[in-house]
Amino acid sequence: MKKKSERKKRRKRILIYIVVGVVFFAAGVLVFPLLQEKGYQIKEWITKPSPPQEMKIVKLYFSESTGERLVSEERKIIASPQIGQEAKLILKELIEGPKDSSLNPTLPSETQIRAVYVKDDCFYVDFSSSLKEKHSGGSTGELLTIYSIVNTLLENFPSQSQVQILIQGEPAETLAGHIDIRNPLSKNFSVIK
Amino acid sequence: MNSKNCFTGYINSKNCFTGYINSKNCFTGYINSKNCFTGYIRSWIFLFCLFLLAHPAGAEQDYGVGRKPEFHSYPTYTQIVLEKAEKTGYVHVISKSSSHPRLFINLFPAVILPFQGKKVKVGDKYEFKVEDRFVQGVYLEQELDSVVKVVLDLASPDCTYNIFLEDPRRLVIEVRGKDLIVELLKKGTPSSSSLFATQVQEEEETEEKPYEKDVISSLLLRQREGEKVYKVVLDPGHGGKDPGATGPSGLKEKDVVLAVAKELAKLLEEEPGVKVYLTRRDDSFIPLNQRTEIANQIGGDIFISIHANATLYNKEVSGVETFFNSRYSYGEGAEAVAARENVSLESEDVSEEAKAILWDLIQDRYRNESNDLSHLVQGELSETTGLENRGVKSAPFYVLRGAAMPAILVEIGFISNPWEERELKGEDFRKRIALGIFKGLKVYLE
Repeated sequence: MKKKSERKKRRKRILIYIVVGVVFFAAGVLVFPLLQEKGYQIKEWITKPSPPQEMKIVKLYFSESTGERLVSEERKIIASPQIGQEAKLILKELIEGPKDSSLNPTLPSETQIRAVYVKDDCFYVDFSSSLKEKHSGGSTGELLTIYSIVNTLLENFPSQSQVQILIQGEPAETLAGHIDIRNPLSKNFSVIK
Repeated sequence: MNSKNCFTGYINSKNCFTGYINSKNCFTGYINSKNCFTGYIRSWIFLFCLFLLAHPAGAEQDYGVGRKPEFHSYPTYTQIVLEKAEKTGYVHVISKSSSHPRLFINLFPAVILPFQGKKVKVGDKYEFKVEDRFVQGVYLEQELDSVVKVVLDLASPDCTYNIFLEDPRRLVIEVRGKDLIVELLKKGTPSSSSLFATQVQEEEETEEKPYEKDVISSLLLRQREGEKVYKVVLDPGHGGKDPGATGPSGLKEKDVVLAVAKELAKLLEEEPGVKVYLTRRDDSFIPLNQRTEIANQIGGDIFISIHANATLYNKEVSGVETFFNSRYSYGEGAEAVAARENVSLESEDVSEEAKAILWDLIQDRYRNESNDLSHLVQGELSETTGLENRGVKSAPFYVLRGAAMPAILVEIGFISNPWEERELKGEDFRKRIALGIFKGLKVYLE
């Protein structure tokens, strides 16, 4: 009886050892290289602290109070290695509106940016339909909306020369029935103060 | 349309591929079962052929073509819509003989659907009269068992047409007048380095031959001296489903500008030597491209688009403003695009980009005149209304490009400004606006 139970116990123990061994082995195989990597990273963190995120000063164009022309305002944004990503950040700031209370926003506040693509020297900016639907209309309102987008982007990225505005992924004829936006637009200096 | 065709082609080739695999399988089967099987297969093939022969006759539902097409006459084109089966294909040819210009469209496989319970026999013909500016009549004929011929009698051999599928079951045929842009592009040869050069050349040629009845040159180089009547085209902005801008108390731009245009028309009608046209006389929706198309077809001398202004947020913005078209600037260069388009001009497909450039060029010829007119109208308008003078500006306006005449867009005040909105409601103020535009226009004409 004793022998039997001992054998049983031994067998159990061996089994446990094997299981634990296997588990440790597996864990070792999986975790060790990870640990090594992390260790290297940790070392790096200790030796040189991560650099602060690079900031970039950009110019945003808003409407002056008379609605005659566009006036620029500076803003700090986090720089990104990708042009499209950075352009999206800038446009988000543009939708937010100006800090100076004497200036006015140029885009409906509901506007969303769906995507920004870059091809050759042209930006393709895909806006949600609210840019069109929530627009007040009027040649002046439309002119300021379109050229605040175009001039802001082209001012901050000198390597690019055109902006194509898209609504829900498609080119549109106009935003509110005046300015032709079927094709890419270039910078318009006559609306900048 | 092209890309759609390509897609069908692709599907077809895919089907072919499956067909090939099947036939291979058949082949293996044939070898295994040896000769005794051949007779069996043959009889099946025979039966299948019988089935194929019987199929088109009994398949009106699959290849049916509506007996009565729909007709729509628009000022600038005629649209004909034909109901057809999804599987029915079409080919078309145009005969431009001057006595009987006709457009032939063959539908296959196609059977005209039974009419009043009567089956249509081969040779049956159904005629319809249209008699508008572009199409005289249409007839449908069951030419063969599975071929339906559609014939359009055209009003003039100088027409352009578009045939496309609205959905697989609706064949749309649009017939319009001479396509100015295609004609313009055809004139330029690929070898010429600049489009402007070819246009100048064209100009010289037509000056030598004043009798040449060319639509384009007549539009582009209209001689003013001999003309006695000035055709003024007034374009009240927006309309119908497009209200334009709306004021704080709900006044709609489309209503104000229509009223002002009508007042202005009254003033102009009293002038000798002036004929007035309106792009819309009621609250109807007219697409932007049709507005200049109408003006060009009329052969207008001056195009004035009337709008009410608005801003997004600042409701205090006020004043009157006049715009003329500014050219798009293209990275690639207008000449390069035009030259490239010329190379593949056998088909009457011209890219939208090239068209846009050419429309710009057309309006650009009137840039100075449009600019002069803008200043005259703006000056008078700010005086008669007493509103702030915001000056003359230029921008790429959809409705102005492509106008083969001096063209301006007048913003008669800010409907988004509560004070100006109240003024715009008043009949007296509307009359003063009309008077301002009228005075400026009169100075220009003199």
